[in-house]
Amino acid sequence: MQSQRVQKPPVVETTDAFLGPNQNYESVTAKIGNIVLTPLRRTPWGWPVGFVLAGIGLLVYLYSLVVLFSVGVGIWGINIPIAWGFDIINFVWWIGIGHAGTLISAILLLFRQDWRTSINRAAEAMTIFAVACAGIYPLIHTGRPWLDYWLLPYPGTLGMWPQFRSPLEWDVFAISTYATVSVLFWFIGLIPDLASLRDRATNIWVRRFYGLLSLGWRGGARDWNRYEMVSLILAGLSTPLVLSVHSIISFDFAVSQLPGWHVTVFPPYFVAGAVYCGFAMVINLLVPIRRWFGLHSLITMKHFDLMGQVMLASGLVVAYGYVSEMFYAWYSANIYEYFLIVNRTVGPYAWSYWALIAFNIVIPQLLWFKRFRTNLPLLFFISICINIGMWFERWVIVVLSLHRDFLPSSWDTYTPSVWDWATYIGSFGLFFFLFFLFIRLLPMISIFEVRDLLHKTGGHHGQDHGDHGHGSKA
Amino acid sequence: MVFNQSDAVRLTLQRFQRIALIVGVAALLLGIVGWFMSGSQFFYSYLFAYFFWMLFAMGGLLVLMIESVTDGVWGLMLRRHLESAAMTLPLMALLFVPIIVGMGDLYIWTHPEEVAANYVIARKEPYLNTPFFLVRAVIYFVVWIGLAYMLYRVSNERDRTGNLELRARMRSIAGPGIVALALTRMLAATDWGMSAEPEWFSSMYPVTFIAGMLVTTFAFAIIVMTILSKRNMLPYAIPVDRLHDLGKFMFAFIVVWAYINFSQYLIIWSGNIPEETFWYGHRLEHGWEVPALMLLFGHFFVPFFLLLSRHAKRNINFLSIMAAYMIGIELVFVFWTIMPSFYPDGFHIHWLDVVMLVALGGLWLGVYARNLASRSLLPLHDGRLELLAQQQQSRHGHGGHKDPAAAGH
Repeated sequence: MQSQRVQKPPVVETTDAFLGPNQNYESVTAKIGNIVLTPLRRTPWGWPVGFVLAGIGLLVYLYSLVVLFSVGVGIWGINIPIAWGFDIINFVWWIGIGHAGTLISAILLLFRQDWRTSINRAAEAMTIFAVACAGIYPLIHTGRPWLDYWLLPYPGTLGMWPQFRSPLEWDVFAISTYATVSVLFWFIGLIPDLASLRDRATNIWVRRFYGLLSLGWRGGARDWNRYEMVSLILAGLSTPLVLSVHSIISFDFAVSQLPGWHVTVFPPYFVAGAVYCGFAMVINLLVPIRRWFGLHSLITMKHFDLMGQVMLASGLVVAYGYVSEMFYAWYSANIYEYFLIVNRTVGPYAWSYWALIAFNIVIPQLLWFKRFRTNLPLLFFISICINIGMWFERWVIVVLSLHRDFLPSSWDTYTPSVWDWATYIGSFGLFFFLFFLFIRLLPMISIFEVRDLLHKTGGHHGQDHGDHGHGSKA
Repeated sequence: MVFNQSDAVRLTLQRFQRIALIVGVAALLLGIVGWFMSGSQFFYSYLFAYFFWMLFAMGGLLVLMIESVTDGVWGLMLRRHLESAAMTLPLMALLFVPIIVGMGDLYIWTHPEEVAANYVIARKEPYLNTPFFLVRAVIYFVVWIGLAYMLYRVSNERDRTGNLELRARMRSIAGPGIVALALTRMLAATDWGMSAEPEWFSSMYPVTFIAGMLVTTFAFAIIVMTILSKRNMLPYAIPVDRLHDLGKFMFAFIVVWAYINFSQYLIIWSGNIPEETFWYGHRLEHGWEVPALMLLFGHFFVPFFLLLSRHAKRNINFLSIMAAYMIGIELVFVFWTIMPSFYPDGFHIHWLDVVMLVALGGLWLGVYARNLASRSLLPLHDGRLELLAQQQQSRHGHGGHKDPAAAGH
């Protein structure tokens, strides 16, 4: 059986269903489970190459952190007035990427959208790794990570407490809660599949490994009943969390008085932006993985079509944010707000503002058309553009607002140093290192949920139009 | 399966329409008497009532377009209701005329001496001036009525021909339509509401109305569907699952409303810039804090906890009471948003507020009922309708369902 999966199956693109033709419970389980249970030397070439590259990136990351800790933040390009640079830009960028995973796994579960089943596991893993990459930034951004415990409220002899009115302090709680719930949700979702792997493993050590992780899952009715309850509760908890995390991040900026930061529409537009680039990242990850591991019948074109639609919708909310931000800066008749428009559109960093508009607003309009949403190379390209565009959004918000504030004598420019770049590129190393480990060690598609979907659709496709509600698990 | 409007149903709706119009016209006449008695108060009350009923009309159009794009079963049964609400927009355009007449009372930027005396307002003159204001209003109504009419026409054509391919055309109208509506609504909220206090600005302000119109539209839909279903005016009773869906939407938008309004408040409070805080100052002092607190508890905490449970959303009677309550509390929201612009010194309520609310409400509901009566209450020739009906029956045999309410109503 294991030799079967090494050879590439003929590619059959399915556009109207969430499962390819001729699937049954056994084929689904074998397809997903064997990716993990295959000996390392039979893994498709993409995996070892990617894993080694990611490992190199991780080493770059570790090295730049060592330099940062031994020298200090002077190695970065920050200055006064641009005291926040790459650290906050990349923090917000990474945490935004995480949001799509929670949206897919929690919100779509609550809305009973069947199309989440094939992509939720990988998206949740992406969430956790992206939150890890993001969470490291606040911990290192002072260059003195040994003082990080200052972030926590603790009754010390000095009587020093964090500033509870600051959204930066709320971030500490929001992100740690979000990370905890995401990990729990992900792990609990894995348990039935880990038990399947335990039962399928031929090697005694592999069986023990998955046996330990599956926490004694037996697949009985009571197990499933409790499983469903816990998933629903965790989904209910994750939904407000995902909204609150990015809203609080937007408060980091919005509660200040700085033009370009003090914008009341920030919270919903930050959340939409997070979903936007998160979905783009899911596509960037799934397109190559689907190809390497031959998952065409599990992740179909219909998935990509729907993800494209979500990106289009959230991208338009982001576009609304840009329009209203600029309109009210003009309408305010405030000279500092007005200067923001001038500085963004024709100032020294105008190129980055226009790049933002091009990558984030103009190019993604191609997603209006189904033929582009189902053209994978193009969709992949658009997703990359969105990820770049969303990075520019944070760049524009942080750098362009700070570098020319109220007093012209304090204006300055910002150029990221080589260490800024090394840390950022290195964080990709960490992300992909974890992600490659994940796809090799854990089932990257939920086996039991796909089987459940197969059960609901009766093993053949093309009949699930419209109603996703019937046969609910709730 | 063809669902033809029975004569009884049409007669019931027409009777409702007649009563609503009579009440509306009577209240309008009373309001005109009030105009002679108290001048500018008439326009304040009018603007408040106009904003409130606009939530229903615009909300209908917005949700209609969302339905056309997403194509869910929940929207299928709402389609006629939404179309009827959206097709009241020509009436709303007509009812805009008194606001033009009252511009001098409503918007101080229409007075050149005020503009000359105030640096901030003077700087806003390129945007806040009477000709441009009128041109914009025309553009808004052309866009909104155009969208409503195009969708209405395609829907009629689909009923006539049974051509399901027309769904794609609806989607191609509604997709760009949502974008157009969001942008025009942003400007319209700025023109008609925000500019009553012309120094103030907040980019979240239009979004608070969008959240409000989504709550209102789903609350109103729950009420309409419950009444139609209970009086056996539909070919079959609406499945509890579908009403549950509507309840979930209403619940979700109650939370969204709170989120949007809280965010705006927090950002302005934390920033603490005098150019912005005065707006909340007007709304949180001298008696205005009472409606503000009513909103905090009545528009969020109370409905949140009452509707959180699945059973609450599946209990039709309870859900429709909550829906009516939400429409009532939305009224407080609009009153609290609009009225302190004219009475910043203290809480003020006038009998004309009630009269204008009834007047515009009567006219609006009358036209809405006329629209609803003019066609079948469910779209024709949609295969999914039969699915809906079958689903209703097959529920009984569905073992996995926990809720007893699902089977019996």
